[in-house]
Amino acid sequence: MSQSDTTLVKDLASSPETVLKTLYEKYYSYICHVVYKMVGDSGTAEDIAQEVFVEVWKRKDAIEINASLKGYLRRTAVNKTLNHLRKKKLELDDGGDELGAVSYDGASSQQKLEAQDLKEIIHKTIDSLPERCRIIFGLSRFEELSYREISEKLDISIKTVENQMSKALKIIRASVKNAYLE
Amino acid sequence: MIDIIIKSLTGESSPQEDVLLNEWRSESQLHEQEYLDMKEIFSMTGEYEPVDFKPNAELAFQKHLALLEEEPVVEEEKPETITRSIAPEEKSTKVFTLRRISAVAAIAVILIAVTFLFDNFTTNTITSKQGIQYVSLDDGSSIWLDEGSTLKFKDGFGTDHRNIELDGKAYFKVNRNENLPFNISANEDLGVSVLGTEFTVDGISETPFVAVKSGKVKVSENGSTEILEQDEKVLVTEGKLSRETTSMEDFTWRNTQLSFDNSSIDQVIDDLNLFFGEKLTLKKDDKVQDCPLTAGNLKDMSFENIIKVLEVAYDIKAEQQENGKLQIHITNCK
Repeated sequence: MSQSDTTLVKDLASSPETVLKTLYEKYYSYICHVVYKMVGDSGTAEDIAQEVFVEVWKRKDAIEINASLKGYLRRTAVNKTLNHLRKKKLELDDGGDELGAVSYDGASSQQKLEAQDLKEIIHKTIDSLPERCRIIFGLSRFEELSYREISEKLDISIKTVENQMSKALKIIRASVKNAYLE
Repeated sequence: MIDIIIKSLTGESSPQEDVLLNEWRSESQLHEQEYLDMKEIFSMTGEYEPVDFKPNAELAFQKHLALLEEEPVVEEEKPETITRSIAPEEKSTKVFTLRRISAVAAIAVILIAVTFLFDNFTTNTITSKQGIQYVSLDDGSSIWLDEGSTLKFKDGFGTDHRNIELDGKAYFKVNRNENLPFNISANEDLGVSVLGTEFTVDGISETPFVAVKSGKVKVSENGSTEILEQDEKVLVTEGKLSRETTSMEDFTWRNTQLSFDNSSIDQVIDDLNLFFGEKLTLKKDDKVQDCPLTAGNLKDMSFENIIKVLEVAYDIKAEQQENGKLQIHITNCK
């Protein structure tokens, strides 16, 4: 048990606020990142992360956890995010897909020249994928959900998942090629 | 072909597609190179870290503090009546200033101490100190843990194993995974093994039992084994397994927290899904807004009867969908 965690336990009765603050300091950023990788939007990520902390803090007295708090927070965050995404279902589901714009149109040519590193190009492209694409790609690649799981948890068709994954990787590939042709 | 490459890289290609891909690859060096390029790009996406996102923990903490100051005291238990709330302007008892925080269902929180954890512990435990607690596990499974009951599992759950020790009583909704059977040991000799299914394990009462809601469950006790299917139950008496029929109570015991106080219909559906496992979808006609509902203690009510409660409260049509879910279509909040 690390020194800071022992202190946490002792402090809870006398100053819960301090404990809450430490929780935020230790895990808020991590949870934000977990959610961000799934939704691709920083505002949404912080909103959902905040909801997670609020909810877990509310329940803290009814449940005793001798397990990785990080893991517990993470699981709650993933569930909440999937719930949130399922509500967006209508914007996510399209059945067939318009395979139109598959070129990376986010960065100016100046940015392309500066992004020397291949990885950086790929990361920037992921950041600027169209929303629907970004979300589904994030769930598959970072949260490692199968297509079937994504379609079930979001209540959208598997075809949509396939199309969006395909689109995401085609866009990424196109932006890599673009960068090297410059 | 690019679509098939992508599917293969995410592990989603069918055997036929794999065959096609391999043939295509061996057709020419150009094809093989194209495949390798795509594979390289794909693997690099795995290392993605958001570049410009810098969450502000201090600010979020302050917002949380502000929220705690606004909250009213613990609510009292509502009597067992069902009423519809008429005035849409009626303020809900909880006020949130944070963006997009939705109203929380009425679950009374009682104050006791909590133990926080440390990150490199090999055996993890989760105990419900008050009421029935919902826990979700790394493999996507859900567990409703009875008050006073404890779950134990070692690190690596979800990836290396799915072994759980249950001390008490819980309802399990296990996510299907053929590669990792979900194993529960309750008491010393009672063992339950599943791939994906829903059931109750009671290891604590005088006559321990396992009751299956759906799927197939293998139960073993002291060397003897029974395989249970939907609506089958087995009791443990004197170290032996004996079969029995299930009763509603075997599964509805976890409903005790289903109480709504001016909760929006969206929240109600969410909570029902949480308890019954994602069986409902909601469709509201344009003019329908929050549709607040107040309903105390829906415990002992089966899923079907609760739907009937909703039908009494609003103008709804409940339609079975193709994907097996029940769609609640609300045309009007009476």
